[in-house]
Amino acid sequence: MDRFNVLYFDGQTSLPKEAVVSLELRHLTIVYLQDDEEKRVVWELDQIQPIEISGNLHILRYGDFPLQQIDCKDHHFYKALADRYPGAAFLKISFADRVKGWNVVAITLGFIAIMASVYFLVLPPVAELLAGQIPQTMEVQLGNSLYEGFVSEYEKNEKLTKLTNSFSREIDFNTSYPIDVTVVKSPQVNAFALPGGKVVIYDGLLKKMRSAEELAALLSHEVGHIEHRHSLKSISRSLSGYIFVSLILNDINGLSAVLVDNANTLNNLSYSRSLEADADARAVETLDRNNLDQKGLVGLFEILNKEAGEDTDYLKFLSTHPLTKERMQKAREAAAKQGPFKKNPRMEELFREISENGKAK
Amino acid sequence: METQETPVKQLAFLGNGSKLFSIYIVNLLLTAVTLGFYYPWAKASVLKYLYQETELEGSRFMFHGTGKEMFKGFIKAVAVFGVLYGILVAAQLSGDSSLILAGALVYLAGLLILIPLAVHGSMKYRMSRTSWRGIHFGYRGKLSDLMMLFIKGFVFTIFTFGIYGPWFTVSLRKYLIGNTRFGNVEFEYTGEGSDLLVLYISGYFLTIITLGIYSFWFAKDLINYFIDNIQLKQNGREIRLQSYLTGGTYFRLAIVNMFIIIFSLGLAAPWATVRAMRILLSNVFIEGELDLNDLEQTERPYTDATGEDVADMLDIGIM
Ligand SMILES: [Zn+2]
Repeated sequence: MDRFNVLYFDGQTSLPKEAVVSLELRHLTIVYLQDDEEKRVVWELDQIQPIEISGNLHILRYGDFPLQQIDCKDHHFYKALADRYPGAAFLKISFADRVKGWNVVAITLGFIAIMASVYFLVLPPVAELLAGQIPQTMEVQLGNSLYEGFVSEYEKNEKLTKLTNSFSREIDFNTSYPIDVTVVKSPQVNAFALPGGKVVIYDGLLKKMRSAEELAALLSHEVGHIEHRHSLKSISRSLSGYIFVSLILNDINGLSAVLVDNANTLNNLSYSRSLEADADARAVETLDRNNLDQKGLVGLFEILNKEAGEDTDYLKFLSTHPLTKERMQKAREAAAKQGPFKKNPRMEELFREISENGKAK
Repeated sequence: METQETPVKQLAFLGNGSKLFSIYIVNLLLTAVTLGFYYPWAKASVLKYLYQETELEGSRFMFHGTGKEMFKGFIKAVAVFGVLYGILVAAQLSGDSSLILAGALVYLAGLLILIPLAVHGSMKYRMSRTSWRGIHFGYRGKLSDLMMLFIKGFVFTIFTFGIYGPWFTVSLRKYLIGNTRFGNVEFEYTGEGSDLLVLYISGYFLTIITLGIYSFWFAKDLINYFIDNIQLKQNGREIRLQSYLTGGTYFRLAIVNMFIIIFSLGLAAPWATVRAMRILLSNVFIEGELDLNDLEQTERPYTDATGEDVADMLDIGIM
């Protein structure tokens, strides 16, 4: 019969007792001396807790609170137990404890692969899908609260805001969103759209506009972003990416910080090329519907393109709305195919006021 | 031969990084596959390993908590936080400034109540699930006492612009540690708010003057102040804990661990954990007549892990 020297703890005191455990047929028997008297303890197999092993040290615990315990430092102990009691519940080693050597490497690589594919392949479409499900009223509310956070850091150009809104009301955008334009004072050449209908234009960009059609093209492009929910989708993507990373790093607290102050990063969101193409396509449609000269879009790109090399202010707009040769090409092709168009006198009048107002400052 | 020297005992951490890594990577994988629901089991397996590899007088500590126990707490904690965050976010989205304020206040009040709740639950659970040679630790504090202590301390700290902070910290330590038992050994925290305040002020200014370099020595001082003021009492005998951690050692520990974590993008964190445990524990000495063969079982069983999980979500580290 197998016998092993162990230290036995009775669960009442911390005094270690040198004992011998024998592996009987249906139970363990622990024998030790106390006050020159031999004591025997019997452990039924089904009440032994799962074994714990660290190097040579094997720890078994038994019963209900307070648990008895034996420590055995014999490296044959586990094998002897396994031979004697095949399939016993307390000998099961957890999955994590069985993982060793190359398995660890394989699991690590597998984990990295899963995480990377989730992050790059699964997360973006899911985030966009979710963004598409948000009801429009909620989107408008979200846009408004982001807008408040953004606009408080800038000075609003009241006069130009009023004129540009009148201008934008002349255009039929064919959208259910309440389009509302704000012009802020800043030499930056930039414009962006918030979820739910707010468009922000920096007066630095407005001053560069040469024709009513260029301004109409800019507004139509931004409304394109709104109609396609591009900002919401970008926010949703970056937020889901952040949530994903912070869940992996167990950083749940960081989440609230992001939820609260993502308004600040909003103007740093950039659209991907395909999103720009979608917004451009809508801009062309809008110009067409309003019988406006589609060369406005070409003109808008020309201003940005030509002066981009000379003036770093332009880089801002280009970094949020990346301009490519293809975009320019598409705009030219669309303009070439266009049927008859005409000038809208009311828009011309408003545009003249806008340019005069811009130059006056 | 009899000597006059105080007997000294030491804790030793015997774990190794690669073993902890295999636990960690399996945890990551299972947590990811189960969309986070494996987290309590993951946590239990890490704690079990860290406790099991900590040795005192040839015997290992043991963590008896199970994923199942912590899962119940985890679900409650997730629900509580879901509601709190929901209120905060809903208020934010409403765009109404008074609603935003109300939402933030509810959120803050919720946290104020949750923190002592979490600390209490966590202490009670963690201590009851920790044993050495079969003798369990225990926490006997009362939730109502801790709640009063916490709210009073929080209010005082706000109204004194933070000056009461060190007294607040010390009062919490006194209560938490003072109510901890290890069998028939009692614990006591002997620190003073004024000492801690001096430590904070000098640490703060020296850190600024040295452009941050002193922060490692400051952190070392705080760790040592915490440990040196823990006192054990066994049958009327007083036993002290002493930490001999030096600033240089702590500096090397922190810098090397930072590099380990950054260059592995976090994957090598288990090696950093093992280094930290080994170095911190190797500097702690138990000085005095502590008879480790004479501990008696005194605690009752306890299995509610809710506090443990709420504390996790609040990122409160206990022990
Ligand atoms: Zn764009």
